[in-house]
Amino acid sequence: MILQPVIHHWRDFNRADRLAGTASVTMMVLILVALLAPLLPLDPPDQVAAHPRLSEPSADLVFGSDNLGRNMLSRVLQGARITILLSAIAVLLASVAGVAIGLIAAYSGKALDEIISRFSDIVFSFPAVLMGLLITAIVGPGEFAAICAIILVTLPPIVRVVRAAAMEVTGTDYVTIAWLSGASPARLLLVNVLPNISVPVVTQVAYSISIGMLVESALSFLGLGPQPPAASLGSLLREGSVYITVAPWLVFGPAIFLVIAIWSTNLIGEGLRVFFDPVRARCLEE
Amino acid sequence: MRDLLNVESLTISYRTRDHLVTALLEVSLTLAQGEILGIIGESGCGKSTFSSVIGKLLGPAGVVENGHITFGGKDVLSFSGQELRSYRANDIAYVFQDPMNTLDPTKTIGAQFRRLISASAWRQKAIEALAHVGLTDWRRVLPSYPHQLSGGMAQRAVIAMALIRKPRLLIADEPTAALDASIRCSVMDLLTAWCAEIGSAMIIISHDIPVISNYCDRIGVMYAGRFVEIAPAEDFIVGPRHPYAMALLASEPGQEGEDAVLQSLEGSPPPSISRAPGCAFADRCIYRTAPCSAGFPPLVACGSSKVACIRLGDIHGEAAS
Repeated sequence: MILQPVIHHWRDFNRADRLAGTASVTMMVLILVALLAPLLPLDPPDQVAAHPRLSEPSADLVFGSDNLGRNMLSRVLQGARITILLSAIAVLLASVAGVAIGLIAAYSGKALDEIISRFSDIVFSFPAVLMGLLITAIVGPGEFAAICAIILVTLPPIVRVVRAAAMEVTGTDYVTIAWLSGASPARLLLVNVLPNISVPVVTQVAYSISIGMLVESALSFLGLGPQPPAASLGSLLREGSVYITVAPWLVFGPAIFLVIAIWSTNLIGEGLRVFFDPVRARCLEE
Repeated sequence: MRDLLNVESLTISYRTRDHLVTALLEVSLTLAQGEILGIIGESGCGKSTFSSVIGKLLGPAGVVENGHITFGGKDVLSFSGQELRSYRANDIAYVFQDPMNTLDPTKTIGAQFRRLISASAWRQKAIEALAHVGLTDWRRVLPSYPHQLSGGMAQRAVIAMALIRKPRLLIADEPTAALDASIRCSVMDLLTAWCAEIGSAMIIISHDIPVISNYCDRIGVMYAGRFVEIAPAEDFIVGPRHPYAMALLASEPGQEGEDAVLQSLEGSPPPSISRAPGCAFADRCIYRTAPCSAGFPPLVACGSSKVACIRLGDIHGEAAS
C-alpha cells in the first residue's frame, strides 16, 4: 500500500514529538474535511433559510445557523477551505521566491546581499495588517490582495532564514570541495547548499502557513479578503460578531476552527524542528 | 626533478574595514614533482593562507599584493574562468582537517563520488579508489551517509575522493588532526603511498611534528607570515637550526629523558604581522642581539637547510655558508 511509508515516517515523527504527531493528524483531518465538504451530506453553505434563523447549536446543527438561516457548519468548512487554500498558495509562492532570493543574497554577498537584506528588513518592519491595507488600496479587496499580503508578510523571514543558513553552509569544506571540483554556482546552490538548509527552511515554511492563515483572517475580518458570498474564517467572525450578544455560536464555530488550525500548524512547525535536530537524531539511532 | 610549484616573493594581506592585515610576507618556495613538504608553525603564522592561495581560495577579503605562483610553468594567479576550473578540478586537490565537514551530510558516499567522476564507470573507479584507502567493504560504504561512517573511514573516503582524479599536487591541511591517534599513522601511510604511486606532490600542514618528520621529504617552518627554516626532514628532526624551530621541537614531548622538564615557548606569535624591519621572532628569542632588529634576515643556505637567522654561526658554532 502506498500509505505504508507515510505511516512509517509519521510514527517516527510522532515518537519525536507526540504533540506534533497529534497536531499533524488533526491538521490532516481539518484539511480533508474542508476540501471534501461539498461531498459531505450537508446543506450548501449559501442556501438561505435552510434552517430557522439564528438557531442554537444542536445535534443536527453543530455550529447553529446564522442570521439568514444558513448552516454554520457548511459555512465554516467552506471558509476554512478558502483560508487554508489562500494561505497555502501564498506561502508556496513565498517559499519559492524566498529560497531563491535568500540563496542569491547569501551567494552574491556584498552590495546585492546588502540591498536584499535591507529591503527585506524594511518590508518586515511593516505590521501585517497595515501591509494588507496598503495592498488592498492598490489592487482592491479580494483573494488576490490576501495572497499578496501573505506573501509580503511571510517572505522576509524566509529570506532571512535561507540567507543565514546558506551562508553557514557555503562556508563549509564540502561546498569548497564541490566548488574546487568544478561545480557551477547554480549547481553548487541547488545541489550542495539547498539540501543542507532544508531543515530550517521547512520549519520556517510551516510557521509561515500559520502566519498566513492569521493574516488572511485578519484581512477578512476587516472586510478586505474574499468578498461575499464567498466567506473565509475571518469574514465569518466579522459577520458573527454583530450577533455576539444573541448568538455567540456564530463566532465560536469559525474561531474554534481557526484556533485549532493555527495551533496545529505551529505545533507541526515546532515538531519538525525537533524531528530534524541532529542531536536528537543521534540519540534515536540505536 | 622539474619544479612543480614555484612561489616567488608572495605577499598576501586580508582587507579589513580600514586597513590591510598581512598574512604572508615575501614567501618564496619551490616544490619538486612528487615531493612531500611539511609545513609547521603556530596558529596564525600563515600556514592556511599559504595552502589556500595555491588553489586561489583566498576569498573576497584576500589580496595578493606581490609575487607569483607558477604551477607546471603556468601563472596560477592569472587563471580565471575555465582555466581556473580545470586547474582546481584536475591539477590540485585538498584534504581538510575534519572529514565530517568535508563530506556533504545530505548525500551518500556513492553520490559524492559520482559527482567527481562523470564517466559511466564511476562505480568501478570509486570501488577501486576505496580499495586503495583500505575500504574494501564498498557495499556498505557507497550507500552510507557520512554520519554512518567512523571518523577514520570518513577521512579515508575523503582521501579517495581527493586522489581519484590523480591530482599533481595534494594539499592536506591537518589531515589527521580529527582522527584517533591509533589510526593517524595508517591514514598517513596510505596517503603518502598513493601519492607516491600517482606521482603527486603533497603539502602537509600539521601541528604534529612526529607525523610530519616521518612522512615528509622537506619541512618548512613558518613564523609570522614567512618561512624561517626549510630543511630536509631527516636533518630537521636531529638538528633544527632556527631558534624558533628549536623551541618548537623542544616543546614536543617524548624527546627528552624521563626526568626532563617539558620546554614551553614563552609568549605568542605577534598578533599582527609587522612589516617593520627586524626578525619577527626576536621578541621571544633567547639568542637575540641588537642587530636582530635591524633588518629581516634572508633565508640563507646552511648545509642542506635554508635558515633565516643572522646568529646561526654563534648559536651553532659553525659558519653559515
